[in-house]
Amino acid sequence: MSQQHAIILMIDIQAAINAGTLTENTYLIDNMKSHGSVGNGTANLITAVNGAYWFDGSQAGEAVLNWLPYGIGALPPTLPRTFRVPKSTVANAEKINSLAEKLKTISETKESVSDKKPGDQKTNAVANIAEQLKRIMEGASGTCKIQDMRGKVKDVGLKVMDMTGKEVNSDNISEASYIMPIITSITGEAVDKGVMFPAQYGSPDLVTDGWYWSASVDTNKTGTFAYTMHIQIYALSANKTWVPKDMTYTSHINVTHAPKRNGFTGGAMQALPIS
Amino acid sequence: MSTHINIITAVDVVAALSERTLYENIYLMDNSPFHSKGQGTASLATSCQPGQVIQWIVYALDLQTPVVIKKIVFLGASSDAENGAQSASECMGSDLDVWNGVVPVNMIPGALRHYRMELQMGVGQNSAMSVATPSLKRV
Repeated sequence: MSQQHAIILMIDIQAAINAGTLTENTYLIDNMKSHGSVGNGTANLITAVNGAYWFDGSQAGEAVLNWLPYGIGALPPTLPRTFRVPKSTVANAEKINSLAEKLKTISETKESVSDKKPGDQKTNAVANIAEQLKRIMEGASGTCKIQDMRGKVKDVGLKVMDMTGKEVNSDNISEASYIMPIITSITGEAVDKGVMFPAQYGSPDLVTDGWYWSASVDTNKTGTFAYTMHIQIYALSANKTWVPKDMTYTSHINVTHAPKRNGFTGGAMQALPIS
Repeated sequence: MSTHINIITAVDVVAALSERTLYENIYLMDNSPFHSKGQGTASLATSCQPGQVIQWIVYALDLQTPVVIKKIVFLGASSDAENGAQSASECMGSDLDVWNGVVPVNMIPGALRHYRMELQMGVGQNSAMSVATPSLKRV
């Protein structure tokens, strides 16, 4: 096997959520274009899986497929997974600083109006400050919550932020960066017919949350086979909770194979060409 | 006595393509029963005897980078020894070739017979590179 196959799914999350389907909102790319994969960069990729067999018919090479889902509008996968932590801390620190300054202003205002003018002016000054405080608190987006498939909501403890890591609040919530889509299962014709054997593997690489789907292929079964990926994407609800939505997407593999032959002779093994 | 010797080549494909050279990005090892010299380097001298089968296998350090043996040519040979199916393929990288052969009886003992191994890493310019430092040595 000269290399493992990598298949990337680029999912336009916003569009998929709005349309309720991944159809026409997904683009596939693999690393086998030079080996015969058709449809790279489109919705209809047919991944070429070229196998080989020995003279006795037994399989001569492994073909391994790996899938990586990426979301358009999600934070880039090249960022470290802990990216949000310092960004959240900074956002909180800024809020605390604003509040501290406002408190300082309050105590100064209290002193300056307490004995000078009765009634209206004092009330107005305090009301003014109260209004400013309210605006600061509203600006705070609060922390991000995620709902699981059973409806249970968990607070992640981090801010909702945009693609640059800046905190996003109620007025610009549409700029929030999405959570990366996840593949939850791979099924379909290729799996049922025993052509592809998928499994989820744990990985120390946290780029894909420490999990990825991989499959080995029985290249003795030649032909074009469909397989379906079950993908979970998250939509941000009005109360800043990420709600999961399950969708599926179908792609194909085209398995071919050819016999191995000797590189020196083009046929059977012979004496090495050392003269 | 073992009749089969494997020469395994490990290639750091990313480094080789970035630096445009296999120098210091390639490691050869074999399991010859006669203790070859230069294990783990590009100057491996595989000790062997006539009648033994030698097989070359190549692995990429990063499983998702491509590498196949394009050609192995013994140096000092006449030009028509550049035989062999220039790779089972026009289709680059189909690893349908098995690079093995029997050590011939007419090898002069003790002399190092160098060979040039060409590797194909993906497609495009500078994707094919070779090393000419490994050798076979009849003991």
